[in-house]
Amino acid sequence: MSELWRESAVALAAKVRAREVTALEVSEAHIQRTLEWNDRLGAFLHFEPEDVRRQARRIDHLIGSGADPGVLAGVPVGIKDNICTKGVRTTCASRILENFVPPYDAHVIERLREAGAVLFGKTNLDEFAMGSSTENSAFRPVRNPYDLARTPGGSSGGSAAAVAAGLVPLALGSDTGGSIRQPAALCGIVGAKPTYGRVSRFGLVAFASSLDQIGPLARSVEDAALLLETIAGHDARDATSSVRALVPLETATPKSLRGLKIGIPIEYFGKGLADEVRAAVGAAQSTLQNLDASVEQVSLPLTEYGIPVYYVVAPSEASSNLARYDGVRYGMRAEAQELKAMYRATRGRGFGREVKRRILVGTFSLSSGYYDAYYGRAQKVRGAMLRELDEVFEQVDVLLTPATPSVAFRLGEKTEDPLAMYLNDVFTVTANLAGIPAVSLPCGRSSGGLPIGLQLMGKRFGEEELFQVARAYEAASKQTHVWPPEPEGTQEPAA
Amino acid sequence: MKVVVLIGMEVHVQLRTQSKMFCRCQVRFGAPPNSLVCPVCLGLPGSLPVPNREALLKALTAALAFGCTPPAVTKFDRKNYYYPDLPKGYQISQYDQPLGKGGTLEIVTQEGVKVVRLRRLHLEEDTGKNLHDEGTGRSRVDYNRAGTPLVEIVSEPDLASPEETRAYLTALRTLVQYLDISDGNMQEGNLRCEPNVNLHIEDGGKLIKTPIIEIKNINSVRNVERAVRYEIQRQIEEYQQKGAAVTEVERATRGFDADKGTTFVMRQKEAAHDYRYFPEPDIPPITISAAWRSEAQARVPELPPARRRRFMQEHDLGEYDADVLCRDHHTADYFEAVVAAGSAPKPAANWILTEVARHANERETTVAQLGLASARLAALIDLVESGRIARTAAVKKILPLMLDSGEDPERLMTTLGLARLDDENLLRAAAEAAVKNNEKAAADYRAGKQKALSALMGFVMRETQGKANPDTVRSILEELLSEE
Ligand SMILES: [Zn+2]
Repeated sequence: MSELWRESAVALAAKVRAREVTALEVSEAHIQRTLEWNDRLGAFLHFEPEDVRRQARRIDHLIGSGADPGVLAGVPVGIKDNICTKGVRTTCASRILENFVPPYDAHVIERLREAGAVLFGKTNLDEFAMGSSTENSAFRPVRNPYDLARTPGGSSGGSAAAVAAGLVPLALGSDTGGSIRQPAALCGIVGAKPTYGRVSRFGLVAFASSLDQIGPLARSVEDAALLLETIAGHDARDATSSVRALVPLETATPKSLRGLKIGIPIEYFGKGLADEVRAAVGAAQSTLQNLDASVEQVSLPLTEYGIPVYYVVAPSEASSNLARYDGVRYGMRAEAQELKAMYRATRGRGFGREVKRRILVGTFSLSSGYYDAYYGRAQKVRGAMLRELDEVFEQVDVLLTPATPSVAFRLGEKTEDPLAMYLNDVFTVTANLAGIPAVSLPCGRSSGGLPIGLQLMGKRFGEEELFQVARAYEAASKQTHVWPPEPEGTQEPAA
Repeated sequence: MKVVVLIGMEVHVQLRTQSKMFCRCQVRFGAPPNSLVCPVCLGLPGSLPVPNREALLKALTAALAFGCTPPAVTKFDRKNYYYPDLPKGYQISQYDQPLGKGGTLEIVTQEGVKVVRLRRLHLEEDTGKNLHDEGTGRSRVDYNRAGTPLVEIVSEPDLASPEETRAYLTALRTLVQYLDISDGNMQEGNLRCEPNVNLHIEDGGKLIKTPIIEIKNINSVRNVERAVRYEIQRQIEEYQQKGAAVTEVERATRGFDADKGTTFVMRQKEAAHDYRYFPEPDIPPITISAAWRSEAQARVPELPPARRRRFMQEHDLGEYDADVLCRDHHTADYFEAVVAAGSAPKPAANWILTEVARHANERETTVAQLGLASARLAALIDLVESGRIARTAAVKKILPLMLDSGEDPERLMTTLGLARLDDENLLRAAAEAAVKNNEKAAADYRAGKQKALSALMGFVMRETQGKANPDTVRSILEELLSEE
């Protein structure tokens, strides 16, 4: 079997463009790898090898005709299944959208097509991106490639598992409270949540509109940067999309970080942080200091309100965003004798437990008489958190924190305890609430061989600096992606 | 028993824009069902709203014209409720920072001018339309209208009668037409109103407030008056039957049945609906810049009240005539054109409001669209005013021919031989004949009976087929009868 699935996106695109390999060969290698792995992982919900080959042939044809095939020529990209793809089912891992086929492409999908990428398949997620383990998928959970008994994190668990196991070199995820960074950390890869407004949300099925951002998952910072550069930019169809252009993310790795100030927010290192994670992030801090970055402790006292604020704001917006799934125009409809009964039956059967829980919480928070105490107050605290961060970013350039409190947990371990599940996002929600960019990247392994991730947070629209630090760290630490063990009973492919 | 009537109005005005409020679909009435839709106005997953600048500007123009105070920053909010004609399960509307707060609307009734206070003006999106098929019991939904920009204008309960309610609606329609922001056509539904009516009844030292009834399904200016009149009477009767028990319900919605002229229960004991308003996260707040404001201000023309007052001052018109002229800005323009063409203003107003308006009504069109050149009408009025033609002849013979042929009135007058006889000798001969043939009338007049002159006048008019100039005839007769 071809080993092309081991290659980076940057390398694959270069080889395809240089006609060293064909796009079809690249796709074929990933198709075989996916056929071998997907049943175990449950990473892809929708994967049509013939469609992948058709796209690859078209790229090859384009190259043959002498046209520029684009920067992602022939590179397979996994698409989280809450991003609309024209003519291809987009389910959000929900029964209610099980047979929904969008008549249009999301903005990011248009960008990928223009760049010559191959849309490889739709990846699994927690229903409507609500969850931190991908166990809330209505179809099947996703498993962590490093330990099939464990979760890959979520909600972009399908994208993270697919990239980590080499099913695709790149995938798109969406991040509302950590849904890219947390699974990236638990799967030992790189995941970035861009500044709010950096990437158009047009075509992303909304969970919490003021927090959602689409971002890349990849096995290296360079690959993540390539994907982010492809999808970023203004889109007139999203009123919250920024007109600020993304500075090309530096391709040369800085040898030194002299002059860079890194802040370590003490609130991220309290109790509840696993020792192994604390140690790995501590080591990362030393690595950065060795690159001549200055490191100082900072304080973000409002951090502890991040989870409560997030779990009011996000469900409130979700309760409204998900109101459109009423069985009238598209998606599932449960037949009933009258209108209200139809609504009740459709939504009752169409949504899973966690989605219903959040709709209830959100509906309550917005209700008259409770609005001020919940949604109103949460937005005020959110504003205060933003100001607190702005002040800290006057002292430092980048914040360094752990990405998650612990390594990947076991499937089923937290499904009965929503609060324990919600605490997985404790380090990631702040970036969404504040709209700042953040990256998580591998920084070591636990004694059990499970990946540990660190998080870097930057200033609003400060992706350039953030990626430079990430690249410098990646190069200096040698903490790069490690292939998951081949499952028992299969031959370890020759390197 | 003393009854005070309180009526407030909620009016929705569909803005006339090229495209919908948050997408690029065309706004058009009467297209095949669901032919003017896209992922955004259908509320498909992943679609996002982008506000229409022109709609914002038109709404801001309206806010300024009503004298509302626009905020420095406006924003959209979501109003959450379920209904099949509402594609997203929420309507994008404005809650606490509407485009306009306060403001007034001046209305004119037979009793005079009244200033009605406005509560607010905001911008929102329209819903689709549910089509119920009674035969099959099934419903279908047409989303062509979904997402059409709407301005909602809410008044204080300052209206006190059915006539005032009608005048309010007329004045509001006039204003949006002056501003050129809407067709204001109630039949096509681009102007919709929901009056809310209640009574404060003072009876035996007690004050009873009847429930506030919102009336729906009103599709014409005439019907708003009928509906309110019926509803006031109904509430009085209900009070007389139930007494203080009427206050058990606080609010209710009733529908208007245009055939019967009555209102009927739609939703009783409406639980206060919780719309769970919250700021629309898909649309950042919008700063109303000074440049924007002045762009909108520049679109505000001379408004009906100002124009009415000017007509009264410059042209010495009565308030009611001035108001009727100004109700349709095309008619008001036409009036000014006729005056500019040399006609005296008072007769011009009179002609336009009576004779010309009658022809317009008969042909189911408006004065301005009748095709009667303003200069031609001015010429006709001048012929009458200068006594060259009898008014009756001008009205009955010349005007209809002018409308059909567009001919010059003077030429028509000459061709038809309708010009007034002013020939001294000829009229003197006719007057002498009148005196000779009506000895009794002549004697009566000489004896001091002024009225007797009309019999003699009538004789001369008959003899001349009505063409004689009555003023000349009168002076000749007076001269003849005083001679002896
Ligand atoms: Zn549309």
